[in-house]
Amino acid sequence: MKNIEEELRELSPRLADLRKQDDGMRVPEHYFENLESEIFKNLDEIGARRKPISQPSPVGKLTAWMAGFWQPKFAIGLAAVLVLGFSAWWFFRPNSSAAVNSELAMTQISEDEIENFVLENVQQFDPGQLAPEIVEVEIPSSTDEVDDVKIENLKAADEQFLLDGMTDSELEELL
Amino acid sequence: MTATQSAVTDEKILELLHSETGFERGFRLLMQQYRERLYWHIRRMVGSHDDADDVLQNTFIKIYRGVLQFEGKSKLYTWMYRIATNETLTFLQTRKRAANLSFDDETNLVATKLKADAWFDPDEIQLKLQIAIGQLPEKQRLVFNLRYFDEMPYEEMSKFLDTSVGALKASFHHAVKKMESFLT
Repeated sequence: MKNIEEELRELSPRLADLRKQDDGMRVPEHYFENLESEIFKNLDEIGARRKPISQPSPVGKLTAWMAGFWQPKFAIGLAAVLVLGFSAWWFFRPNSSAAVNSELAMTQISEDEIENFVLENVQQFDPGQLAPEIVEVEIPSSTDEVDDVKIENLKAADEQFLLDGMTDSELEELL
Repeated sequence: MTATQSAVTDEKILELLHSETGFERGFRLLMQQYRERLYWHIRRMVGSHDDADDVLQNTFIKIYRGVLQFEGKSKLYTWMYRIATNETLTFLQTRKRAANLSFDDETNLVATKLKADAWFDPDEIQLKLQIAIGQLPEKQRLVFNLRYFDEMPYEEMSKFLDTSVGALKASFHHAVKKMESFLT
């Protein structure tokens, strides 16, 4: 294939010569350098310019990382851990509402009411239930072994219990 | 510029254009690479600088919007040339329709516009040459310019204009003979 020079020389030597001359066409100074900004200005005006994608900020990266936890498998696991944790806290918390309610109820009962309740239900009371309470107290096998110090150390309930179990003569001896 | 250099540059440009954050940088690189060649291709078709500037800006806006759809079946440069050529032919058709010109009127308009262009400073023979080019039919002018100024091989022109090599050669030879008669 002939190049343009050879082809033109054969067809029109005059045109081949003219081709080498300055054609007289000019462009304004810095036209090509300013062309980019002109085109981007036009793109902005017609709303065709793409929004630049910036690198994500550290906060954005953290958010994207956390978003991974909202996948179903992670979300279900996280929910299960939260439910178990809350249940454990509820079960082991020091002051349950039931205990608070019973303490509150006790303050609202008068001593007379308590005494009446005890007297009415004393027949159903099994003294054996107190055994664990008094096992630490040395219960004297006889009045000989009971001295003042030991008696003073007794609790009121224990004292009443001991006195109830004494005969009149044993009581007189003690006094 | 050699074909190898062009291919490497086009690869780099396309890689940037398709990257997440490099589109604008890639497009700037594309403009820097091809703005002058496209400008002169358009300018020789339309004549005046102002008209060439309008057509070139529209061409780059079309390239900006469509470059991600470029499939790489041809050279990037050929693809852009086609867009620039279509824009130029549309502009010339619109200008002709708007003025409702006869052939003689059109010839006078081309000459008047060239003489009035502040960015055209030819000697007498160059003025005659440019007026003669402006009088060629649009398609013939296109073939003449691509061969005469851009030195485009017929094979490449054939792919670009979707016309046979033989038809293009005939068209160019015809144009040269017309130019000869205009200049004498």
